[in-house]
Amino acid sequence: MESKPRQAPFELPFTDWKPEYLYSLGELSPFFREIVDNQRLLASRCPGCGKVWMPPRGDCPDCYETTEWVPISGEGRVVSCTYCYFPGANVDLIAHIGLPYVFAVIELDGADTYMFHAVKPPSQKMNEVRSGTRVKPVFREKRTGTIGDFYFVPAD
Amino acid sequence: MRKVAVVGIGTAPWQMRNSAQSFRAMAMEVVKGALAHAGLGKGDIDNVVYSIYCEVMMKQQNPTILLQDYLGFQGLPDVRIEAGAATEGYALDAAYAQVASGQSDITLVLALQKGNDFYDFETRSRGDGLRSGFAVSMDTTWFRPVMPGVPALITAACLVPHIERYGGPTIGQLARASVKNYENAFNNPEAQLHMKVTEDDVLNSRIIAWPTTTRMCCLYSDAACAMIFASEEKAREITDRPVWITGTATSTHAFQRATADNIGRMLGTRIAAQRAYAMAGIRRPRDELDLVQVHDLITGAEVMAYEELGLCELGEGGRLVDEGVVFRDGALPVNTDGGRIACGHVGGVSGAYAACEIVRQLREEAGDRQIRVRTGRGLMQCIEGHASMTAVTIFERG
Repeated sequence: MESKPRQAPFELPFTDWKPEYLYSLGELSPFFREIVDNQRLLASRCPGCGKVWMPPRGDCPDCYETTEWVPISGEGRVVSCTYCYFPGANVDLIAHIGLPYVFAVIELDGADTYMFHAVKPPSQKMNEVRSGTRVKPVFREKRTGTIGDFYFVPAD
Repeated sequence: MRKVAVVGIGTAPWQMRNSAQSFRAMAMEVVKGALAHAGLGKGDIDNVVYSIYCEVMMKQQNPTILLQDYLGFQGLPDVRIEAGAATEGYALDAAYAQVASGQSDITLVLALQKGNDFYDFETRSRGDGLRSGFAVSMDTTWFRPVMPGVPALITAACLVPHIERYGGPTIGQLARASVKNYENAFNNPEAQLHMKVTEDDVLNSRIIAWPTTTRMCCLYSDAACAMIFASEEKAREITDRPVWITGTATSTHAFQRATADNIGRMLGTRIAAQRAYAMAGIRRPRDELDLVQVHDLITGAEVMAYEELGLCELGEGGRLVDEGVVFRDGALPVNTDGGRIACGHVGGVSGAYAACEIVRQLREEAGDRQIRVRTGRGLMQCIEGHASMTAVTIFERG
């Protein structure tokens, strides 16, 4: 092997630390269990102010009340979106949908807040998904307990 | 509360990768630079504030104790601030408070980050390694599984509704704002890119997340810089050209509470700016500032910042580009160093470098890119995500 001059930066791999986790979804467990077991979405409703949070949260940040689970249809409306042409890395859902995919702000029926999620466009053509497009969730065959277990498609 | 001044800055060239120096040596270089600029010795420093965004990225947890040792600051107090890509502004805010309160007379702010050591051995790509690592910076429950680690995307999710709500900026205005920053970088010898980029180049580069193209996105870098803050009494002894910090504020924006009211807004920036203006006694920022350094993570974030900082009405940011106001020879130059798009970016450092640029301009030490100093005031804004966290600092020369 050709040796480099002593002053040249010495570069080497550092691969003996790969953080891996086994973690709990805690108070959000019912939400993800419902996705995995029943392919249904739940939202959280504050018994104090009545606001329906989506994404759900265990506690209402306005009233500090513990929220209750309420079923929602999962259908909704795109508030705003951007067509993404960049693969990023190691995002299983995007590998599944393919590019371009649509990163969207979605107002789910029955929810008072918006959720950021992925929409699979019907084709490569831009603008088929846009503000106002009605969407519905599609649950994936393989579900592990993340919001990447489903994505949205236009609801016709 | 005591008055606080910047009395010295130390910067180094922006590089995509700095293979010649470890993070320790990068720190030493800029600390020496700041001490020399202030005419101080190491023994004059009585407190250190570290602006370090991400430990995982630099392959070292608890880096500050190693730096305190390497820089010979044993025995001195230190604190590390972390607030995502707004880390620097939060660090300046903390350093200000420590000197203003009397807890410290002379504080060193050290901003440092190795940003490009991640590597994906499967794809043999640094970019892939970085994007996987970076993705953990996002909410791992609600964002990470549905979006790649591309900061442009989260900001695009603010830019697109902003355009829809307020009718601007246009794609052409975004492209021209990019070109401005590339041009400014030409006159900054420390900039990472010295590249001739035309409006067509910007528009024809790869789309990352519509309407943002590659040439509307920031660079990523290994970088460091240092600043020295002093109390009024010390500042007057140290220099006859102090640059006072007259306003500082931070604010968060409820990121997971997107609603019809706040979609397409960078409310954290609006609120932090209002607080900082009140502290500095500024009523008409567009007339009362000489230059502004904003967080151009993507060009859209820069233009939206003009609006949220109150330099113009909502939706009018693009007009400041068309009218030439924000160009180096305009009435209110923005990102005179080339910004994150052309000078360089890494969380924890670029905002501090932007603050150094303001100090340089206000002291009229900016060489070929010197602007005309009129009111003697400059503003730095830096954000995390789409302004889920914002810090604003206002500087005024004495």
